[in-house]
Amino acid sequence: MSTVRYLFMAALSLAIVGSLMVPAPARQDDDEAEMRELLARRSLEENCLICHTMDLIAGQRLTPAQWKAEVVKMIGWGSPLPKEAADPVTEFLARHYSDREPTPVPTLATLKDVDSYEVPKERNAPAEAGADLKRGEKLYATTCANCHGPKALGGDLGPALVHKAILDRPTDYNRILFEGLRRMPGNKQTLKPEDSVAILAWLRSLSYPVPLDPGGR
Amino acid sequence: MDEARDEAAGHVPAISRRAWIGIGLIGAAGAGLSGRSTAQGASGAAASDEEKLIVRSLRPLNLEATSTALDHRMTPANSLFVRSHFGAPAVELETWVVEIVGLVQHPLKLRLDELGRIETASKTAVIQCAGNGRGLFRPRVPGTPWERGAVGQAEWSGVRLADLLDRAGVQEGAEHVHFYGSDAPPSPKISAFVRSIPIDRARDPSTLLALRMNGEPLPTLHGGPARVVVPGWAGNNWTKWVRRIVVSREEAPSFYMQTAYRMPRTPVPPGAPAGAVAMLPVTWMNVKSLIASPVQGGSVASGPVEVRGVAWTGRGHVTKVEVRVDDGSWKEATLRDDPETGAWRRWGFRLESARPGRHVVVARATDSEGEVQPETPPWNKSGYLWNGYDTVAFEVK
Ligand code: HEC
Ligand code: HEC
Repeated sequence: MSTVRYLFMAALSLAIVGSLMVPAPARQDDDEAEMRELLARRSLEENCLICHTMDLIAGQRLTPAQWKAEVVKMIGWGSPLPKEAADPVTEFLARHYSDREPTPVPTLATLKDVDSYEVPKERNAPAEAGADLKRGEKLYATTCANCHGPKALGGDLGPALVHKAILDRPTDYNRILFEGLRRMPGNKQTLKPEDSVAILAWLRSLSYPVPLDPGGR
Repeated sequence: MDEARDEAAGHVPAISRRAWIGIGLIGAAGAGLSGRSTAQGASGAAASDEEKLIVRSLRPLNLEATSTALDHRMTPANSLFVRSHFGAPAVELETWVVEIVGLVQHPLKLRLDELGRIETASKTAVIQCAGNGRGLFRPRVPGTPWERGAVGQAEWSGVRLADLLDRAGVQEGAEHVHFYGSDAPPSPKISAFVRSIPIDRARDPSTLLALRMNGEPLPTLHGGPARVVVPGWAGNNWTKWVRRIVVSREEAPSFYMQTAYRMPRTPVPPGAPAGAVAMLPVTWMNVKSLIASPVQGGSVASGPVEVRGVAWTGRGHVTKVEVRVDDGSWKEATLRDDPETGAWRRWGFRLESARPGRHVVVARATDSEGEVQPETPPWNKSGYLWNGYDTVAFEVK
């Protein structure tokens, strides 16, 4: 797909999403550059924050060649970044997180104030006692497996869920499940609270590492 | 999701489009990226609070200790750096069983209470991320830009790996021991974090499967309930959340063993073609000192200034720490703590009089193998094992 066509398609999708209010352009060149910037940023948000937070990216200061290598590596590792968005995203990264810029100043926080699912919290115990695992498994297969993979080890679009810290955070899990998050669709219309409980209970029952050739290699 | 997390995750709050283009940095507000000084300055700013950590990334969670937190013999769990590739797993989801399989006579499955009944061994040892100091290399390299604090020391206790291997009965031909964690990669296209160490190193009496840290159950963020402890070797070898141990003829075939965590056998200049020299796994740490006090960018009252810190190495132990103030000559610091392989030694140097104003103090260590901390270590493309002189600028009031 040509760049122009890519910009056009992406602009169209943005217009459909309707989340951006674009003021009247001062000059056409500026406008095109800004549109390119917006689209690259959108591509990055949708394709680069599935497995890790933005700080992992924004903390780096790299050359254009290093950014190009990172984007290629991440596509190989499963980022669904479309081919035609690779160059705009690479340019965006090289522009904003250039090796010629100083290292950013990170924040400081005490462990208990660090806002990460990984910091163990008192469990807000999932109501899994009476949950129907079989039903959870079935619902997962029909509603989630396409993106997160049949065994929740990750798939073409969704990250692995097995053993993830989010499974200990029923409130956050439910919010993502019902409201969605970036490319993860919300399920308000399709799933009931007991469905969500059943899926969570099934996810929590999965084993990892999965059995493999015990001889290793 | 609260606002801080949201911003760090790349959502820019609803300010005008012009404004965020002006900021020009995704996540600038949340990640505190708008300033222009370095993180060393950041740690100086919070010197009084040891519990604070430098937040490198929230997912996976990467936290760095401030230098003040390292001004002790033992680093408390809550101020030790945190590092993993795929995030700390929800460890309580399965009953913890460690299996030992592969080239063994009797494959074993041991629950934590069973591991707890095997004779306990303890070791005080430094843990340092292989990438500690990556952010100081020039030209810059990709990866978490740790500066000075991806290091700490604790008392680790648990089971000697040699005891586990003996129970399982290692077969002829075994050369390597692989460790599988409970942290799944986010995509099946990404290698699991599987690492191996040579069998001789696994059999060394100091090598442990640790279940406790500083006398407490090993916290999840530090690899609990069970992690490998390989004193003297960098943290890439200290696999966290261990559930499976595989005895094998070969090194682990994973990306994290064969591609990542390797350094050129002999230094190569930046930009040299890959494959020019053999790449060896990162194992032994190199000799290094850290100035814990004064803090970078901090100020001290006039009168004598107590310069303090810690120093460690891989093989052997630290025998000397030297300190240089401004343009003066190197002066020997006083070492505390008995020499012990794998552990750090605290050191101190009293600067009798320092004029009011800005001063720069530099430290370097020497070890029992005769290795001296260099001013700048050889560059390597992944930014491993930085051990350049430690430098702190401070002000005397
Ligand atoms: C399928 C999951 C996934 C997606 C999607 C993804 N990454 Fe990554 N990324 C990872 C993992 C895993 C790491 C290694 C994390 C670690 O070791 O701490 C990583 C690390 C990084 C790093 C740190 C340097 C390095 O190579 O370790 C950068 C920069 C990065 N990713 C950028 C991106 C960009 C840009 C995109 C979008 C094009 C992206 N990532 C999408 C999984 C992903
Ligand atoms: C259209 C693909 C898609 C489907 C279908 C889908 N997800 Fe997701 N899911 C995603 C993506 C993409 C993300 C990552 C979102 C982001 O952070 O950008 C995600 C994230 C999540 C997370 C957060 C993971 C974490 O560790 O933070 C949970 C939990 C989750 N999904 C559960 C589910 C469940 C349960 C279902 C089925 C009811 C489901 N998803 C269906 C794509 C999908």
